[in-house]
Formats: sequence, C-alpha cells, structure tokens
Amino acid sequence: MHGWKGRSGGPSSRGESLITRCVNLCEMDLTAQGPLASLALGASASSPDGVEALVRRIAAEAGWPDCARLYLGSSFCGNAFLRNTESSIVQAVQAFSEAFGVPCTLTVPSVSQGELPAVKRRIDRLLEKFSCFDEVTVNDYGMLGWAAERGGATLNIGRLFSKDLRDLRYEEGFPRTYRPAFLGRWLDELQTMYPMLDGIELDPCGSEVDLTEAPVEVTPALHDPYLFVTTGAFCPYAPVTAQGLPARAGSPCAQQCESAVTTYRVESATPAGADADGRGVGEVFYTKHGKTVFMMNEAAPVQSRVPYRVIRAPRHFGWLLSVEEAR
Amino acid sequence: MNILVPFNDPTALEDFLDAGVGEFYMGFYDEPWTARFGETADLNRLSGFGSEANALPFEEVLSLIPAVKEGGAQLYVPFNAGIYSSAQQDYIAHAYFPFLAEAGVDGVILSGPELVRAARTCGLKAVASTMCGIFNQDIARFYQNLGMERIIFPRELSLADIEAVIDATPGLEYEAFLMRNGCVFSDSHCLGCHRAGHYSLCRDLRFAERWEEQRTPNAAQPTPQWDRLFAEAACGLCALWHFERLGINAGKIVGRCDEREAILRDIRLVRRHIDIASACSSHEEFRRCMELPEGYKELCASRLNCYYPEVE
Repeated sequence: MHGWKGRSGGPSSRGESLITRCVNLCEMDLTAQGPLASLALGASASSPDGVEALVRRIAAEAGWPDCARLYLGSSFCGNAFLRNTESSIVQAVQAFSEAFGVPCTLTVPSVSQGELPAVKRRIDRLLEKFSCFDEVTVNDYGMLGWAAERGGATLNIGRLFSKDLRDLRYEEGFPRTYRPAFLGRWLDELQTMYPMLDGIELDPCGSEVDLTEAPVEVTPALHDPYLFVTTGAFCPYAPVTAQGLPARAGSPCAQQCESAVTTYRVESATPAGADADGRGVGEVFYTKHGKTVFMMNEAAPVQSRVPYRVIRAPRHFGWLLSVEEAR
Repeated sequence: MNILVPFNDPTALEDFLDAGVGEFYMGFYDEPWTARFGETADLNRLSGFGSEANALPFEEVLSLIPAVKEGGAQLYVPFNAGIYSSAQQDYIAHAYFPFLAEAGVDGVILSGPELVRAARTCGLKAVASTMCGIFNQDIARFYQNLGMERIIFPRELSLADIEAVIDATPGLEYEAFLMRNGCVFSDSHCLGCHRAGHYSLCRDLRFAERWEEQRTPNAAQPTPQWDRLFAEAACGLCALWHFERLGINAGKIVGRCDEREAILRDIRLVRRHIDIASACSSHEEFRRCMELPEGYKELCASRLNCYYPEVE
C-alpha cells in the first residue's frame, strides 16, 4: 500500500491550507453483506485492503488524493454503532491506520437507556485495545460527561448537539450564510467544564457556512456532502410485530435499513439548494437512510479563521457501487 | 398524576378545569422579540404556526397566570425552540424570566442547558423539554445536576427505560406522553421547520413522491398505516396504571393547534382512567376495568397508534 505515508493529520496540500480531509465510515454497512463487499478487489470485506479501497473511493468522490483521518461508528443509531465497530472491522481499520498513519475518531450516537450498557462496554474495549482511536465524538451531554470522566481520548461535540433549523422547503429555513448558534457562549462554558473538548462537528445548514465565530481552541468539522435534517428512534424497516410495528430504540434488529435508501421529492417554496446533481427549481430531494433523513449540500463554501475539518461521507452511503465501478 | 394539556384559548380555561386538567403549558408571541430577531426567529417550537399555536402576547399570558392558579392548576411556559443564540438567551433571561417569576408561573420548559442558570436565578422551576433528548439516565443526571427539576421523557422511550431513568434520578419530577400527536421522528433532533404552509416535515414526507432502492430482498416495508395512525391517534392509556406506580407527575395530552372539543374528549377519557387506575391493585385489573370508547378496540388490536406498545 503506497501513497499516503507521512500525511497523518496534515492539512490539504491543494492550497486549502485550513482544511483537514477526513473520510466518514459511519452510517455504512461495513460487514460482509454491505457495499464494502462490492469492492471486490480480491479483498474480503473486513480487510485492510478493503478498507483502503473504500477510503480511496470516498476520497476520490470528493476529489481528494488522500485523507488524514477516519470516522467510525454512528452518529444516529446504537445498533449501527455496535455493528460498525465489530472486531473484524476495527481490526481492518487498525491495520489501515497503522499502514498509512491515519488516526481514527470513534463516533458514538445518543442511545436509549436499554442500549447504554452495551455501548459503554464497546467504547471501553475499543479504546483499550485499538490504538487507532485517539478521539471520541459524542452526541449527548450524558455521554460527554461519561467519556470525559473515563478519559483516554480527546472529545468532540457531535453533529446532534447543533439544532439550527435546516429546511429548504422554506426560504427562512435555509439561510444564505449559516452561522452555527452553538459557536457561542455555551460552547465556551462547555470548554471550561470539559477541558479535553477539542472539536465540534457541524452540518452545512446554509448555502455557505461561516465558522469565524469558532473559538480558536476548538476545531470545527463540517460534514459533507449530506446534512441531516431529522432522525428518529422508530425504524420502519425493522418491524417487530406481525402488524408491522416499527422497531424503537434498543429493539433488536437485523439491520434491514442497510438494504434500503429512499429518496423523497417535496415541493419547495425556494430554488433548490446546493445539490451536486443540479435539481430543478422548486423542489427538494431528501434521502432517508436508516432512521435519518438527509439532504445533500455538497461542498458548501466556508469562511473560517481557523483550521477546520471536512468529514466526507460516500454518496448514497456506499451503495450503488457496482463491481465494475469499483475496479 | 396531573393531566397536562396545551392552552391556547383563555375561554377554554373553565371547561378544561372542570374536565380535570391539573397543568397547562402555554406559549406566547412577542412583537419586540420579532422586531429584534426577525419574523423567522422562533421564540418556541411552534412559533412558525403563529396564533394557531401561540394565540396571546406575552403580557396577556402574564395576566392569565393568576386565573389558572385560582382554578387550582399549574401553568408552564415553553422556551423550547431548537437552539437560541447567545443574544436570544440574554433577551429571554431579561425580558421574560423575571416577569414570569413575578407573576407566579409554575415553571419554564427549556430546550437545552443554556438557560437553566438564568431560570434558576429568577427562582423559576426549569423543566427539560423533549428537545433535550433525555433517552437515558446519564443525560437525565446531567440535566438534574444542572438544576432542572422536571424532565419530559421522549415519546419513543419504553416503560422499562422510563422506569430505569426514574430509579437513577430520585428527586426529579417526571412528565410522559399520554395522548395525541405521535411524532415518528425524535423531537430533540427533528430540525425541519414547523410552519404554516408545509407544516411538519414528517407530514410532507408521508405524502411525498418517493423512490426506494433496495440492494437486498430482505428489506422490510413499514406498515403503511403506522405513521398515519401514530400521528393522528397516538394513545398511551393502557400505561396509566404503570404511570401511577412509577410516580409520573404529569401525563401529557399534546396538541396546541388541535380543536378544543377533541382535547376535551381526551381529557375526560384520561381523567376517568386515572380514577380507575387509582382504584386498581394491578395492571391486569386496570386493563379489565378500562372503559374504552367506540372504535378503540380496532385501534388497540393493531397497536399501530400505541405510545407504549409493549404494554399488554
């Protein structure tokens, strides 16, 4: 494996000196049944070669020659978090991380009471056994407190903390310039309460994003190309009764959601947002994957005084990759 | 356990009190807020629905508080927009909290931790809204340590989860959903606008043109009726005996924009079943004694509208 040695943690070399490029392996099925398996380059699904192929693919979609960090886990679902951090997958990620000097952020969702013990045990095990994880992204105040007390990694505020409205159906729901409200006094207080707080993840909730209010001590990170609009604890793809009652948080599931991506078209009062596929005026397209509904807002221009990260997810969450495309 | 209902029409106060309501929540609109922060700056979660959800200006809400308390009930005021800027937090802390405290409001419902200190400084009881996403005991303890005195459980928590959180956080008050307006997404992370025109995102998605791509044949298809029935007829009556056992302080009937008569029917139904539950020594006995109206049997058989479907 060649090409990425020595680029660990470094900024882009394309003149965009503020940007650190990161690949997001969250919200993807990394098991043998998932899209990783379709990258049949003579590699098994849970192998360093497989991880490398997937990472290169995601980076290439963004026009990147490489990446400086991986994100693994899930922002939205406890079952997805446990699935994506199974031993075979993490071992493959660890091997890739060591080979290329690319560290990994463990992304933890906000989970229900019933799921909490298993998720904590998994976090403990991963941080103890795998050196690739130097950071943990948390998505609620409870996990922030627990992870801070536990120690062993720096912490990031996850994307679920920021609750600015993001709704392209209304002109006022999607500003021209998005200034995250979380980058204010409360974030300063959180830094005082939790000195190991190092970063904050945000979604691109506007045509352009203004990060100039970000405190210098906290590294902002922007998700790309999808922003999440809503997420729920009911999963309609995993019915748990004969009548088709959807699973709720903590219900066992067989990851049925991984086998479906739904696109919705809704009429909008405004011209479509920054959609890479050039959607027509007066309509908004949403993508539902798992329990979460996303909207595409690719490569939103950013104003920032400080270095920031871009966390790039694959289009269609890794699906729609044929073997022919992958070769 | 008190019955908690939305309150948007002062002329309904007497009817609601007679029907058995013990607590109200009421939002407001305020021209100075709009002038300062713009037409689209939400003062609460449903500001976008205008007078449908927030019929009265701030001063009139203040003047209503004594009447509510004379009727023996409590009044809570929500500040539960998804997020407020630092300037908006300061404005709320100075322009609203002191006056609400002086008027004797029973508490303020907050969407996050940022306003807790300001509320407590004014002597106000701080209530953690569903916007706080209290899904587990760690999150509950964070807000308890911060100074919240009551937490509102998210819709999607099971009774077992609710009981475990209650066991882990003694000393708090608890509020849980009971009737109407089931949301298929989590309140705390649903960041579409609630406004006249398109209304909620979940409603738009329900009727939207859609394309589904399935990579494997085993993807389940959700029962088509589920999101409609849950949105239109959500019910948690069967859980009432457990609510009493767990010491839930308030059962919530949702619907700030809903018709008065519909809410009154639900209030009377819940009141009757609180009385039944109080007289029963077991959940099984309560279930036998329930007096469900016409049409409930079919709904109940499907469980598609249940807030707590695990309850037999």
